[in-house]
Amino acid sequence: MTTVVTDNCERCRFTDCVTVCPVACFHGDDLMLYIDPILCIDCGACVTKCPVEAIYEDPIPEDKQRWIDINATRAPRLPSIKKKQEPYPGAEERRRALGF
Amino acid sequence: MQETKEQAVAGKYTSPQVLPPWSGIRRVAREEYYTSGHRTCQGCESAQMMRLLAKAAGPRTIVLTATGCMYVANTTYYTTPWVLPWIHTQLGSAGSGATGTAAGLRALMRKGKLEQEPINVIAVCGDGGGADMGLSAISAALQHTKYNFLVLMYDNESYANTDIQTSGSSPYGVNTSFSPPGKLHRIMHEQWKKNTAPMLAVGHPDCRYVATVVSTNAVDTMNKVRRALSIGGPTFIHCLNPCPKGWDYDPKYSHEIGELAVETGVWPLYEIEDGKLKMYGKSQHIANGLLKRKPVSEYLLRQGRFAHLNDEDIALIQARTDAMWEKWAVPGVIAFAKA
Repeated sequence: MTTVVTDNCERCRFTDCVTVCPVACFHGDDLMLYIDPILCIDCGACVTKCPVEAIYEDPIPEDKQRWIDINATRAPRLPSIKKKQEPYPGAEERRRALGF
Repeated sequence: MQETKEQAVAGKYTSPQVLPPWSGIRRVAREEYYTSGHRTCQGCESAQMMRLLAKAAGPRTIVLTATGCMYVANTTYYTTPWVLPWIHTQLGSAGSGATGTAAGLRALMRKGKLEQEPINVIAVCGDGGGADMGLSAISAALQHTKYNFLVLMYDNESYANTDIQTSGSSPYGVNTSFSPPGKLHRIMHEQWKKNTAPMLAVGHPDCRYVATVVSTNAVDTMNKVRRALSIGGPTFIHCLNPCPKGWDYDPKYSHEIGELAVETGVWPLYEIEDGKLKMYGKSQHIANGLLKRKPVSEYLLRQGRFAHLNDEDIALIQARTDAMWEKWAVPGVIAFAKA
């Protein structure tokens, strides 16, 4: 299962994705969210929900490959996020800066 | 030229189907081979397991069902949900039925009476037909390494079809029609659940694949079935199926109860392939210490069959579950430790 959250989520953290995840596989720290690959069923519901297009699914682009490991190692050690939360302060500005 | 026995064993007659795992829910086949027409209870997870099993195995499959819920409720006079060829075998003969069917197919193909192609053979039995009566037949079947088949045991922890009698798979303290709690004796069933999957894995070194699944975990469950069918030789899968009637809870909670069984550590998910044990799903996180197990009371108190337990009983079950993960030689799987 390879659906990963990548760098666009950093300092955005809109958490729209967790509202559609059927298996609650999102975990997060203060900065961004991560997907636990052991629990993810690769349904792809979160991919279109992300306002900054931070979530990629198979095939993962070459420059995002490192996020597979990052998601797999960090997610299980962080608390599970099941409900929508306030975005990171300044998330709207970052979103505009990213061009979305 | 007539093929020798050895060539036949190694040759095309016995090669299993190649069923690669589905990498996600969207890659799962849309065809259903277990459809409407059954009379199982509302919220029946065993029926869900049959659906996943048929979907994972695909169209070129023969299913045998030993007597049990999935025989009686599925094939009441002229009604059946099976789109696949289906055979009833006697209670306790799932293993022998599977061996015979696989041997029969091979013989027909060798004689040219059947087109040569790999056909899945799946024998399904309940916990009564598998862990109690059929254990010897399954054990014998797992020794027949030249035939390809899967024995799937769906475990609702009682003889649910004949009104919830205690089986070898029933957990400690459970209220069944054979063990009703009374004023004098609160706990009438004092045995602990039989640990069937590791017993068969340890005792049959030639059996290449043994797994435990829970049907609430659909993608993993189907992938385990596909692996068991592709690996070759006899294989065994043990599936825990919450049963609204036997476990006494509202049918809409079937999925949650299955999840809780895994999250509380009562039901570990693992596969043993060629002697290598691998935990998966939430059990993998529990085994690695990344996920804290929920207290077993969350699982037990959701079910009417445990309503008579007091705090002492729940503490005892919690202690046994803790020991299973903290003291067993192989946590969650094998109980021995060096003396």
